[in-house]
Amino acid sequence: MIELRKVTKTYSMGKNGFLALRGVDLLITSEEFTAITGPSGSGKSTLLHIIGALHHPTSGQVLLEGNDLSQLSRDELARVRNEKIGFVFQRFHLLPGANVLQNVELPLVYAGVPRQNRREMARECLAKMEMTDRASHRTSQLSGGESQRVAIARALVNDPRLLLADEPTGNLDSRMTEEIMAMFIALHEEGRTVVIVTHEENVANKAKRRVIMRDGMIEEDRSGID
Amino acid sequence: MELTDMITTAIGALRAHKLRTTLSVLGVVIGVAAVVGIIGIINGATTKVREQIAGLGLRTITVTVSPDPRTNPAAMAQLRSGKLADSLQAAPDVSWVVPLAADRGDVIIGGDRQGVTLLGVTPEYPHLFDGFFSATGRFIHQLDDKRTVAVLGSDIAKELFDETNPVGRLLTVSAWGRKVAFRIVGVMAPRGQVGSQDLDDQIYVPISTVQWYSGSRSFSSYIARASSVDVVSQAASEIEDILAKAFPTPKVNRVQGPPGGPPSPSEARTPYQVEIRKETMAAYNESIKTMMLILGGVATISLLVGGIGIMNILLVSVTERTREIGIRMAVGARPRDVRSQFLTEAVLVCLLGGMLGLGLGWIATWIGSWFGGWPFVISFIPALLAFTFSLVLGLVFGLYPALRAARLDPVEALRYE
Repeated sequence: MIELRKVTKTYSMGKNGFLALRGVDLLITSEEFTAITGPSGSGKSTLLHIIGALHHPTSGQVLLEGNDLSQLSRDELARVRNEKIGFVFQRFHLLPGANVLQNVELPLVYAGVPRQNRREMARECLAKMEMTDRASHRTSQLSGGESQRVAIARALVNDPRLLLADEPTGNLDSRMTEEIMAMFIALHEEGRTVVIVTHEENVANKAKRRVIMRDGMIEEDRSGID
Repeated sequence: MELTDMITTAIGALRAHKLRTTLSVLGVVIGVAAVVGIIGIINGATTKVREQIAGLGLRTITVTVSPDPRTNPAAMAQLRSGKLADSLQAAPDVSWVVPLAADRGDVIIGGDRQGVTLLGVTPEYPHLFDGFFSATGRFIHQLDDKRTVAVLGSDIAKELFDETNPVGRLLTVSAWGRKVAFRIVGVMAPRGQVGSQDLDDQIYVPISTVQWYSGSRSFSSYIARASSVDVVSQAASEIEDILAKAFPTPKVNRVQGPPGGPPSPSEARTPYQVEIRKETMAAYNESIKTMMLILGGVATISLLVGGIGIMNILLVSVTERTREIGIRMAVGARPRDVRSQFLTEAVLVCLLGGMLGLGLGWIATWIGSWFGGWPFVISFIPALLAFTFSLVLGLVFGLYPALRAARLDPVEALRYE
């Protein structure tokens, strides 16, 4: 599914570049449930952004279903994000001016799906997240847990094989965290590949595989239940 | 992303920031209103200036014919009988042609003598000038053929008779080596100077009378009036064509002249002259051009200011909506989708501003015409211009902010506070 070969990423900061990733090799196969953990600044978010086609790596190869993302243009990367990847963020990242349904529809707008089909597909995903009754609400009227469920609905609307989540429970209380994690587990069981970046033990423990980052490199890669 | 989605999204974004949208629309409204208003006002004012300049005799064309009497008997007969005026009047851009015969004379009044111009004319003469008519009595009539009747210009009437009404009185004029008593039949309304002629300072008499007394047999001088100020040059060349046919330029007689030698200047000269008031015409065109330049400059500046206003507000908008752009990119918006979205917003603002500006411009034109006293003409060129202008404005000034938005890095945009 995903293969990273000698991936580095340097951010230009003033005169000296900041080396966020220093040669990462990683293979994530289909239908895996992986947690990426590590202290802040270890490069775990950068790694997720590169897997998610949000960033080009500075060097190395990123293969998503065999296609090298590092060779794609910005427009092509956008298409990959649109069709193959669902993103969930810590801060939900819903459009404040739009209602719940419009937010869930958004990826379909860029996929060029006709309006009527969009409505139906978005409603289906909202139903799955048990948010149908909130479809016409403004996003500002939602609680944290509700916002994250809308965000997951949006991530699912294009039916991507790969779900990426960057600290998805960072802004939620423990009860909501349990609920959201249950959803990720359910989505994984449907056959989706899930990669979650987190620094919470209880979240990371739900994953079958754990990749621990430190100083831009993979420190430990634990598979199976420990 | 489909066009309808783009427009819906843009309208949504514009409605979400009503004050900002209103301000940017206002910038365009003022710019476009200035352009439309200025064009309207120039059109109106030009019409007025045109009318005023027409009063200066810009439409008159002076024709003099001095043919070689041996060349063309038929044309000479036309010239003698005054029929040439009829053929010249047949020119499509000529509305009136009147033959003239001017002579100097002395008016004898109470033992004093005063030099005057006697202008022999036909009854159509007043038609050559706007606002030239008899204030008292009448002008020369068709039935006045060879009669000794006279119509006075307003200044000369005042000079000779003060405020009293001279109609019906006799005027003794010493001219053509004899004394002739003219019956005054009318006084003209004041009209002023037309070219080098002072219409108020002349005594008008039938042209046949002048010819009879002077013994001159040809109608060799004419004034024609073009049907509008724009066709003076055409009218002049039409007249030249007619004259060229009637009075061909004498050919050089090659048998008499040196073989192959060039024609001498006197032989090559055309036997007629057609003159228009080129200087006045040039001054008129120049003043219109200056007006266009100044007002066009003002309009361009106001459009530019409107455009910069849009760009400024859009740049603020891009910065403020950085996170929104990041979200859109994260779910699959391509850089060009983002670019199109901001361009669509700019174009919508400009088109809305353009339409409102057009309305405001027309109101300004109407107010201008009301104060300036010129006709209010609605033309559709400004409408088309306003539409095109605002479209171009939106595209040009929206492009930079749109490109900036499209160049944003999705991750950094998402992190933006």
